[in-house]
Amino acid sequence: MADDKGGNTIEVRPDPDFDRKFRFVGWTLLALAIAGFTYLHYFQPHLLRVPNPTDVSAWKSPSFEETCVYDRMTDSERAKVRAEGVPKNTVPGLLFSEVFSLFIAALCYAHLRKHYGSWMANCFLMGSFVFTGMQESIWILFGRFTGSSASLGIGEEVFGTYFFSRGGLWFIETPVFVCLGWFVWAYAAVWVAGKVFPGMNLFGRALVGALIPMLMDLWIDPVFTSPEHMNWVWAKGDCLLIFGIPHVNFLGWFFLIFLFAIFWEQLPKWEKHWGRLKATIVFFVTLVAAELAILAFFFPWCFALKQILLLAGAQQGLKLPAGW
Amino acid sequence: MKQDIPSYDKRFAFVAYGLLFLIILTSTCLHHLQPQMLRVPDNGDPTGWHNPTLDQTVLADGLTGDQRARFLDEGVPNGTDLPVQFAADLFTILLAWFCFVHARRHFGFWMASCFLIGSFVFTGLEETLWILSGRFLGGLADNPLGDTAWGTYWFTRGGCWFLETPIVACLGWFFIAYSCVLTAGKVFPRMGLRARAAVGGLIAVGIDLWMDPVQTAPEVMAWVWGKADFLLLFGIPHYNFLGWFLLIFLFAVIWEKLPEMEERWGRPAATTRFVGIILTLPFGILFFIWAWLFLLGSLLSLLGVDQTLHIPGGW
Repeated sequence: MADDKGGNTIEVRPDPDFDRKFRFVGWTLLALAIAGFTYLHYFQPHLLRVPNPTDVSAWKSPSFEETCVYDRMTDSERAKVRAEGVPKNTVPGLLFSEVFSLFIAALCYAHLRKHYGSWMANCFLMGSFVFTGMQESIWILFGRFTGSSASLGIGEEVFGTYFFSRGGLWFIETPVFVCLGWFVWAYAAVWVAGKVFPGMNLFGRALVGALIPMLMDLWIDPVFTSPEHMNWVWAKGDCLLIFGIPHVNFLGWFFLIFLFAIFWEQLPKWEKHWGRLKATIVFFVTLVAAELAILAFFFPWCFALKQILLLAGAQQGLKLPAGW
Repeated sequence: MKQDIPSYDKRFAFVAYGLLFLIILTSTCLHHLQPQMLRVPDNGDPTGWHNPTLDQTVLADGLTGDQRARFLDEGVPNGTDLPVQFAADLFTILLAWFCFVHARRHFGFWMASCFLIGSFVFTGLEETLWILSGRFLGGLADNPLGDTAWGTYWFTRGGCWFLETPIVACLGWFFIAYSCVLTAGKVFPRMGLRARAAVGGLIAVGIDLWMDPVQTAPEVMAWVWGKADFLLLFGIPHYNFLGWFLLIFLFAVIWEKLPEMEERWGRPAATTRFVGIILTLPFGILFFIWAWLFLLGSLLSLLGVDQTLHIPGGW
């Protein structure tokens, strides 16, 4: 996001007519998708096999005993979750998460719009939903419906992928506050990378911008997946766990932000070539293609990693630090 | 960037790094070879811990049955494995070296050395004061809610030590403080010194908020907290975060005043004043936090709070 003078601005001329139409169509589609999936999540949960947060004994692919968090619980914590369900699953708590994430995202959006204009800002925000919300949902539903994952366990079975245990509004099977959280993280990190390294080219900045949230996630994920929170729940079975989190999570964070930053900064160039409408379509199509490519990449990656660990003599999945 | 003054900088480096080396050497020998002098808790035998005992630590409440049995049998993870601990020292020294090179290139040798040595003196002294006051005085006082304060905390592992703080912690503080204050300055270049220092302190607290629960988890146990505080954030006493903010905020302000101090009094006198401030300020912060704990605890008690507050609940 840095220009040649080291400032964080990209010159994009406003096109009020197109921007208004894009805003209307984009926001309406997003609102409809959120309304539809939120209705499905709460009123037709059997359709997407939504795990019941108040009855963990009914969970399947993975069952409660097949989750990573199960092993980290004391007996009293297990008994409590079995009796009361996932912690903090209350309406005020969920409302707070939604409102708080919306507020922070609004601040970021205002900053984004001021520096890059309406079109670029809306592409970033809607792109966040399409890119991360769709990517996470595909991964979640793949695990839930097939009971498997790209992750390959060593000496143990694979029981699915992961899922979010609670949320207010939903985009497919990803809570809206997660999509907004990703938007805030991605924008802030790439912006800071541009400020701290103004002389770097786009790839360098996208790389640093992706490494910052990935490293932060290294500390945040173990807290949010702990028995006290269970915001999201990982299935057992990855051959490499870092602080109890399957390593593909960190790979995913890195690739998503790195690629998104690159595609988003191409928008002005694409607009020059093809005009704003076609550039917008190319941007969203590229995002969908990239997220499918990332998911496809996980399969050979996990297969290769497992073979390397087996060749190195591993009898079971590698845990860093040991015992976690 | 401050111009180097080779004759002074050479003498300063010799004296400052020489003293630092001697303190680290002595503290390390004391810690590993004469642990009874500073009552160093035995990593291999948690049942022998005092102030706090194992059951008086925050950690004890989070252990599963299996973890507790393994812990009592094997002790702190890698707690007696000195090669691993020295390897961690080397890795941290490497990261700190990158930061030092950056600081030297942008601010000159004198300023960079003041930051590095200041990190040891300021944070190492502050942490050691907390650790030893808890270890030697723990259990003597009640917190304002009426619970007995079972000591403060301590670090379990470390190859080399500065007093009772591992050099890994001092160097970690150095590169987190330096990067956060530098990032704050880059992102908000027009902000005044205090505001930038405050943003730098807040970034560091924001990072520590997530790192601390992981580093104190049963599987890592890099440091251990005694039970006592009346307000826990993610299982960590809240004064830890208050301390982080104050340390980085104050240090950044003092360090950035160095050029002004040099202009007024010359480099040797500016260095002496800087060292004097960072040697005395940790005591001031310690008293401030004690007063803060007493006042906030009393306020909560007046409001009817009668047991430790956990944010988020259940942690």
